[in-house]
Amino acid sequence: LCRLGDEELMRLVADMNPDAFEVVYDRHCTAAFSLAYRICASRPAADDVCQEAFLAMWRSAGGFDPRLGSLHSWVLSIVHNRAIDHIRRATRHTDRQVFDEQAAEQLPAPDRTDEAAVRSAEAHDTRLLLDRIPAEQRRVIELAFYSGYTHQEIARMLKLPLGTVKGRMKLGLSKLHTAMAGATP
Amino acid sequence: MNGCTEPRYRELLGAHALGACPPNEAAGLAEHLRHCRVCAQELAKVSSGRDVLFTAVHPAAPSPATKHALMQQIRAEATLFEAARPRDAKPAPSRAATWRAKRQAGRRWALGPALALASVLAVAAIGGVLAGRALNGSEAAKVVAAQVDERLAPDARASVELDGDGERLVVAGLPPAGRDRVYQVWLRSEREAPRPTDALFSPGPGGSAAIELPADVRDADELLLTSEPAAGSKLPTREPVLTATL
Repeated sequence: LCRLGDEELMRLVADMNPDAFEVVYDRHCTAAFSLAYRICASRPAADDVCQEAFLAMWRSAGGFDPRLGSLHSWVLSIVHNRAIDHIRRATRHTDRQVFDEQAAEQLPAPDRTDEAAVRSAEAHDTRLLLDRIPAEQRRVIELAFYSGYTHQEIARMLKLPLGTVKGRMKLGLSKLHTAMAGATP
Repeated sequence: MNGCTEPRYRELLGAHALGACPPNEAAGLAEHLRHCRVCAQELAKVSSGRDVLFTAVHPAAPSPATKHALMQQIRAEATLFEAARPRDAKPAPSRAATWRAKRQAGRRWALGPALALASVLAVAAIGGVLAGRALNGSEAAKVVAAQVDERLAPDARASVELDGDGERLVVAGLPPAGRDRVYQVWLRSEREAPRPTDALFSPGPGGSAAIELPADVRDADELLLTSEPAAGSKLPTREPVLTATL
């Protein structure tokens, strides 16, 4: 099973094969947990979000369509949605937690498997891409994507006109797209 | 880029890709995207930029307990599904078949009645009755797999368990009952109207719940589950999400 590609594995998962699911989990759990932890800023919450997301993936495996994107993106989209839902529910009456980058670096690192090494290098490269866009664009993008704020909330928080926030989001993402295209060999 | 006549939607594309539009704006933009190729192309571009954010995070490993708990649940559900497949009949339509059907997106609606029939067949396969041996191996136990209406609860699975410890409805993957609503269990004997029970519940994380049933479930012919107002109803107000033939 470990030698199968994601698409073939998902055919087996769609037929309720738990061994195939375990391979999919092992392959994508580090990226999924890392994203959930970045958003939730809490290890137990990130564990819960990951568990919920993979369970949802198991139950709706038939909905995965490889023509619409990779399994990696599909899994991370599910994790992202669940994590944002989690922080919106959890922080309805309190301020959202600010993610502590230094604390994240002190977390136990994933096993040094080949898969983990690839993910680590990928994370490093993509953080460099993110650093390339102007700070004011990066800020609104991070507040939206990792903290789950709407453009209206960000405009109020940063005391900026709504149009400016929307413009920075679109421009920043376009620059990320261009930077990514340039970085792809 | 020219060709879009609604600049108010174009300026929302970045926010939309980031999931930062309020629901009403997101719905309006989704409608606009059905007709505007210019915006659809631009959304694809900003969305690919957004994908960088998925992995621009410090790598961290989930706890081994997470995998352990998850795999326990996955294996239990796979066992239930496997046990519900008819053994002597030809192989039941699998989720893989459904997956392949969904890939034919362009033909999906044209084949509506045929796929609806396939859905019913898949539901019937899952709804086989497992009597005499429960998953824990107890000979006195009876487990009845419920038939789920895939239109109302596409990911749900459920079974009624009757054993020496009592009577339970066990569900997973059930969607929320709706705002100010709960799920209510009904029992039916022969051709009588469904009679209400006090078994009202809202599913927990993952749509799961294990609900104690009244003892007279053992005398009933059928169990039904519907979404009802928070205090419950005297007669069902919605279609059953699932039924179990007891």
